[in-house]
Amino acid sequence: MNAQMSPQVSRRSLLLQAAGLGVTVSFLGGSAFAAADGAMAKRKMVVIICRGGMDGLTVSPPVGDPDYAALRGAVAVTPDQALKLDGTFGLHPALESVHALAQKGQARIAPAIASPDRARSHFEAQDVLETGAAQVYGVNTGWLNRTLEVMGPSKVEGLSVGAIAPLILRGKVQAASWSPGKGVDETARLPTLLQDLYKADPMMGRAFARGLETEAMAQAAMTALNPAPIPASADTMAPKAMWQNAVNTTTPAPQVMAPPASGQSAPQTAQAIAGQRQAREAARKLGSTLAGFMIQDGGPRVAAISLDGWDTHAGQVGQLNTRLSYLDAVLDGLNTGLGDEWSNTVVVAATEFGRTARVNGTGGTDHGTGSTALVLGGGLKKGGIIGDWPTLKQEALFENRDVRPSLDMRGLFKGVLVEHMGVDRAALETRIFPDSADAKIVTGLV
Amino acid sequence: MHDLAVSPHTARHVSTKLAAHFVSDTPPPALVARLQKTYLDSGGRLDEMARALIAAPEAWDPAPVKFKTPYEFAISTWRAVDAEPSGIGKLAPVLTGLGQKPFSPPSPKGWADEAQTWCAPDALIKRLRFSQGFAAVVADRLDPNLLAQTALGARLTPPVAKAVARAETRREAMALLLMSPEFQRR
Repeated sequence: MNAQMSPQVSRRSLLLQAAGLGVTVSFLGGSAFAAADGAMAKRKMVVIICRGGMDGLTVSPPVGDPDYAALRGAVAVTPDQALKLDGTFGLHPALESVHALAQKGQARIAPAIASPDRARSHFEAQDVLETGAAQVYGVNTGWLNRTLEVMGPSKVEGLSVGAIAPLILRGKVQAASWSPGKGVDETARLPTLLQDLYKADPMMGRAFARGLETEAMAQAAMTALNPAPIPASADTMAPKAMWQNAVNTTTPAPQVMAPPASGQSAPQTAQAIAGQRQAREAARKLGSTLAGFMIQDGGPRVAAISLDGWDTHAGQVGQLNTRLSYLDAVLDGLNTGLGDEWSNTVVVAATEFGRTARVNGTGGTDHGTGSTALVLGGGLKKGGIIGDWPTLKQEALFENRDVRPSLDMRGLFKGVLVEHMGVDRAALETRIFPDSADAKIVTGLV
Repeated sequence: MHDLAVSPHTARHVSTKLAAHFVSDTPPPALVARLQKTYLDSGGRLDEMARALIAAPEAWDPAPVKFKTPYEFAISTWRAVDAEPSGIGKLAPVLTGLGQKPFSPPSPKGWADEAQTWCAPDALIKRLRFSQGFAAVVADRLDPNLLAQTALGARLTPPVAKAVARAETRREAMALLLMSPEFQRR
C-alpha cells in the first residue's frame, strides 16, 4: 500500500498520526471533487458492519412486547433499564448517544430486518450482506464498491476502517483503507476461544495462559510509559512488529492483542470499568477521526467500518454491554466529529443475522434471523420504526425460533442510496443489488 | 570407529533419536527395540532403519503427537493453503520471529526435538501473531470449514471443527485452525 501512496496521501497520513491514534492510512489520492452536483455532492454514507450476529432484541429491546421478557429470561433488558423509544421499543442502556439522537429524530431502528440469506452461517451471511447478492457466492465484489463505480470513481472516494478492506468495499474501485493500530479490539476474542480449545491440552493451555499474562503485563508497562492515547511509536517499539510485517509487507497484520475479553457477566471490577471507559474513549476517537477524514475537501464520502465480537453464545449480557458501549461511542464520535456535515450523513449499523428469540442454557443466544439495524443521520425524517414489527408471539417467530424478518436489508440500503446519495435507480437494481426487485426500496428516510 | 558403530549402545542411541523425531518425544520401547534390531542386523544401514520406521504402525497413529517446530509449523501453514513462501526472504524473518533463526541452531547438536522447547509461553503468543497475520492475508478467500478438513483430515476433532464453524470471520476461523492443538502437532 505504501508504494501506492500519493503525496496527498502522506499529508493525510501525517494528519492522522497527529490525532494520536497510532494509525496507518492509505488513501487513493483522487481529484478533489468540486461541488458540481449541488447539495447531493456533500452527501455522505457510513456503513458499520457488526460481525458475529448482533442481537437485535438487546440493541432495541421490545420491552413492550408481551412475550419478550419470558422468551429472554435472564438476558432480557428490563423496561426500567431500556431507554424508551415508543410504546414497544427501547434502546439498550449503553446506547446513550443513539438515544439522544433518536429523541431529536436523528436515529431510527429497523427492528426486524435481515439479509436474504437464511443459512445462519456467519461466513455466508456476511458475504450476502456485503456483496449485496441474492445468495452466497453470487458476486465477489462489495455493493459499496459497486456504488462507487456507479457514482463515478473519480468523484467519490471510499474509505474502510480496519487492517484490511471488508468485502463490502472490495472491487474494481480502489478504496482507501485506514487501520487503527490500537484501540480496536478485533482480536480480543481469539485468546478466549483458544483457551477453550486448550482445555483438554494441559501443555499448550498452561503455556498459552502464561504467555497471555506476560503479554498483558507488557501492555500495562507500555501504557504506563505512554499514557493513553498510545502514540504510533508504541507499535514499532514492540520487537514483534519487526518480523510480523515480514509476513506480508503490503498488508499490516493485526498488531494488538487486547487482554482476554473483559466485561463478561462477572461483576465488574474497578479495573474492568476503567478498561471499558478507555475502550469507549478509543472508539469515540475512531469515530471522530473518520469524521475528520470525511469532512476534508475531496475526502471520502462513503466509508465502511467493521466491528467484530457480536457472537454471544454465552455470557451475553456483559459482552453486549461492552460492545454496544463501544458502538455507541463510535457513533457519538462520528456525530460530533462531522459537525455541520452530520446533516449530510446517513449511518447504517447492520449485522449479518440476529439471534434466537429464546435465551439458551449458557446465558446467551444462538444464530438467528431477523435483527435490528440502526439508521442515523442529521437529515433523517422523523418517523417510527422502519418496517413492521412481527411481534414475538410464538406463531409469529420464524421457524419457531427467530425474529421474523419483515424487511430485506437490501431494501434499506437501496433507500439510502436512492434518496440520500442520489444513486441512479436503474443502476441500483442491476449493478449494485442485482436481482433485488423483490426487496422493496424503503422510502421516506430523508 | 568400527567398534563404536557396531556397539548395541550406538544402535540404541540412533534408534531412540529417530523414533523420537518421527514418532514421539517418548517413543514406544517396542519400536525402539525393533529399530535397534534393524540397525544391528543390517550393519547400521540408515536406509533400512528408515524403511523399518515407515513400516512401523506406531508411525501412522492418526493422533498427532509431535509438537511442530517453527519450521514445520510455518511450512505446514503455507501448505494448508496450497501455497509456498516466495523465497527464503519471506520465510526467514518468520522463522526468526518464531524462534528458529535459519541456519543458526543453538549448538552443534542442532535444534531441540522436544515439545518442551517449542511450546513455550512466548512462543505460542508469537505463533498466534503469525497465524493472525497469515489469516489476515489469505483467509478471506477461503472456506474455513473446508480448509479445516483438508488441513487436518482425520485429525480434525469435533471441538476444533466447531470452533472453526462458529468463528465470526474467516480470519478468526483460520487463526483458530492454525493455533489448534491438532495443527500445532504432527
